Amino acid sequence: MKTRFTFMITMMFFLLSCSLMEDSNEAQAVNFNVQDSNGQTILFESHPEKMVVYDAAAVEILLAMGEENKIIATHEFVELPENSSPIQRVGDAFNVNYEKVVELDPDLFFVFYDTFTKELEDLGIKVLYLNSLDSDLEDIRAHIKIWGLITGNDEGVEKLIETFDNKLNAVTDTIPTASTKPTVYYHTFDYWTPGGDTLIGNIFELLNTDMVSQNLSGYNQISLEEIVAKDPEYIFTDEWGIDQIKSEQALQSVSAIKNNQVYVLQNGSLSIASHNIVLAIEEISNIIYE
Amino acid sequence: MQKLDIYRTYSLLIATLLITIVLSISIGSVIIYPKDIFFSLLTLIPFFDYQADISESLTVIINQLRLPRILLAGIVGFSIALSGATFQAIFKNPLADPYLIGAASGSALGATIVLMLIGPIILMQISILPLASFLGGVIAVGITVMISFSSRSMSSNTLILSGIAVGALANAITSLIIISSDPDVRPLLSWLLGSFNTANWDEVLITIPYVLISTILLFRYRRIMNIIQSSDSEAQLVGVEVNKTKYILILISTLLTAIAVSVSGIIGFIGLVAPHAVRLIWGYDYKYLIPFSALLGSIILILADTIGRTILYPQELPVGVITAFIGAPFFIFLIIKGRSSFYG
Amino acid sequence: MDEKCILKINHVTSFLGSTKVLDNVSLDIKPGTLNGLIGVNGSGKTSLINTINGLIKPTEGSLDIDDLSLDSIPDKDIAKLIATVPQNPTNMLGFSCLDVVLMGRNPYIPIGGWPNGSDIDIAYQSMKSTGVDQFAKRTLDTLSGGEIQRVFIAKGLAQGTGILLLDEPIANLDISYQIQIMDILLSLVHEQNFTIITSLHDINLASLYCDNLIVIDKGAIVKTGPPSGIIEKDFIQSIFGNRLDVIRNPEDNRSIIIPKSIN
Repeated sequence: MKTRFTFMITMMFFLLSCSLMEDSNEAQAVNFNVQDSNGQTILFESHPEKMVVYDAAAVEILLAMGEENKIIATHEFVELPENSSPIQRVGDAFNVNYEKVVELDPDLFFVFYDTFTKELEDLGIKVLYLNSLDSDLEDIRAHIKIWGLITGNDEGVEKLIETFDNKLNAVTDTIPTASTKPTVYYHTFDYWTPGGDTLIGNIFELLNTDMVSQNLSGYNQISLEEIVAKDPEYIFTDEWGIDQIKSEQALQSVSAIKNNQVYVLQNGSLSIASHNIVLAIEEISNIIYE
Repeated sequence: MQKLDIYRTYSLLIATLLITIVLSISIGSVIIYPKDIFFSLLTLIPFFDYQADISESLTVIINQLRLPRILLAGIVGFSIALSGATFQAIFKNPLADPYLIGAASGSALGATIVLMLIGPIILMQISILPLASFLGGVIAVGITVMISFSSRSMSSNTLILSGIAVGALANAITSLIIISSDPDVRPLLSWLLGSFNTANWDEVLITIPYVLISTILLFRYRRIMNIIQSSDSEAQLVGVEVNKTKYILILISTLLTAIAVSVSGIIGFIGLVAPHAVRLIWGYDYKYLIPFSALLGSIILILADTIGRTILYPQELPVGVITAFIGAPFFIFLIIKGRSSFYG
Repeated sequence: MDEKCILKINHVTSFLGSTKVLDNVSLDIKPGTLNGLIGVNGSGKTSLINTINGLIKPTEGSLDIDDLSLDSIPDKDIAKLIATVPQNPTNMLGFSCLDVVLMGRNPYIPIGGWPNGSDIDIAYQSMKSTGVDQFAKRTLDTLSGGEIQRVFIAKGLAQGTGILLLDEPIANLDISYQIQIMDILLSLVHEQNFTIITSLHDINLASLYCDNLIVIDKGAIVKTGPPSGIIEKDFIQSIFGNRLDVIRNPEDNRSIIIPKSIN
């Protein structure tokens, strides 16, 4: 499996020669490229105004930039903050209602995995596919920048990245650099766990912890023996996994369970690769280091 | 078979099973020596209050992880091979197996409904998944038998055909639920692939009574299974109540299948491989085919699970993948040798 | 003649699916007789045998065995009264002759049980009666067609019944084996007082061995009685077609059937 997706972003602003002319009131045409996760270059000739955003993280980013008006649709499983206005849904994470999408006639369809790309393109819809499943924090920063590029909202994106970096630095500053790292295990149902090369793996590395599944690549089912052998001091999980891990007979001797150090994160999720992930990082840091 | 051969075969299989168990306990993240296994097992004896002179984590690995897991794999292998041999007897079809008449698909559907629509609910420390999959399996087989019954003759073909239809329908509903449900399908996928990673003593203890009772009942029918290898009418002519017998046998083997599926998910090929290997080596007499298949099924599944949990350690490989790797080549071998067509 | 009938068939009509296979059949079978069932293909010979042994339940009429109505007897117990050797029995690959013959003891063995010493004795006696006891430990696939047929007759004998039904027991056998099987059937009737009903293609062998012939045509019984009254030119031609002749064997003065010469 590929260790890390690094997104090559090539930006080319071509201000038309008319900028040299006196009449600067004329609408400025833009021209920029974004490279998608398949390595293809997507050319934009204007900022999309109507977008179908098929990714919870991207929706969160756009909302934070104040660009919610440009999201005309998303999928069923995207949760919106309480006070935001509802967004139309055009399918769940595994299906797209193509007819609906064609009817909406979006300027851009954004998706975080490759399933629908070809079909949508055949229907004449501009698609941007950026993988956010196996990324790291640098990728999140890059993603946010791409959204700045796409929306043309430089100010919004700068502010967002600044806040993100500030919060992240505030957290990382408090992380001790001791050589004895606390051992953690990140649990999802039936012991499917992210390895060291995933976003979650990168985050736990940043937090100067030793993840039980550090040496695995991608998402795998981990052996219970490994958990017993590594004896994690902290276990983080979600509402799906909490009951299972706490009631596992064989794990009752593991430190985290014995000392009641099993947590479901309350502020943000580690599996949505948006700027809000810093809240989850902050929470974990508080749990481990305070 | 001669009496001596029978005793020899029983001893051979039981000895192999015990060696397999000990071997499997010792292999894993740490290699454990038989001496430590012995002392660790002593601590399991109630009221004995033995304190083993080995580390706590080693005791946990032996007593809480490897032993229940190996026993569960053994019980599941035993059950699937047993019901496979029985289904082959009922249908007079060497390719019949527990998954042919909708038992496994129904069980999977039952579990899917609970897992995807309600969530992995854990009541009193016990997942309700086994119960759901058991109900699903029994309902699917019930529908299968009802369809074939309404066609008046309960011939092997009507049963197999309606089983395939019901199984396909159950699979379609499962897919539908997966597609239109929560995005996180990983738990379900891991369950469907079959795994003993979360095996525990509760599961072992819950399955034992069902498997024990089903085994005793099936053993009583070994002589009748031989007779129904002739035609249905020939069996009836010597006084076998053919339809009633088939219903009873289908019910018992479905129970065995559902129990196995509910604790381990879908594990293919054992129900085919074990009885066929027994036929190749020891012949077609169900008197011995039934117990030998069950023991061999146990041995094969324990070995397969041991490979699955050690080969990519610390990553778990679903045991169903390993059994497919063992089973598929074995079947190709059978086809080439042409021995599987012994029923004509 | 008030000799008791062991089997009485009273106005029996039966169906296979929606096809009427027996039409108002009445028949009395006397104990200790060898009865030959003859008729063209599809005339209902097999259906009559399967109605007697309970595989086909009659829609009308009744069957009595020893004055006991067959209706009132559970399937399992019919197997203690009537044994049947079907046409083309399943060749039980991998099973020994003894195994197969012991299956005939099933009506006397409870579901969880195994054959005991006396079951095995009876199986050996049965095999001795048909001359296959020396094959007891061999598997069926090592035997010839005639030997296999004798094993299945032994299986029927092992059921310990008074009545033995056979469906075309000598079809597909060489003439020497045909005579061998017929000799066995005759000795079973004479020495062990069996009552036998057997369908036969060969009318000459039937008339040579049988006490009674039963002629069935289109599901109805046309004529019954001793062979001398059946093997008569006009009657035989009405059943089997006019290409047949009945001549007398000068040696024993018996009527035999031969095909007419071609021109």
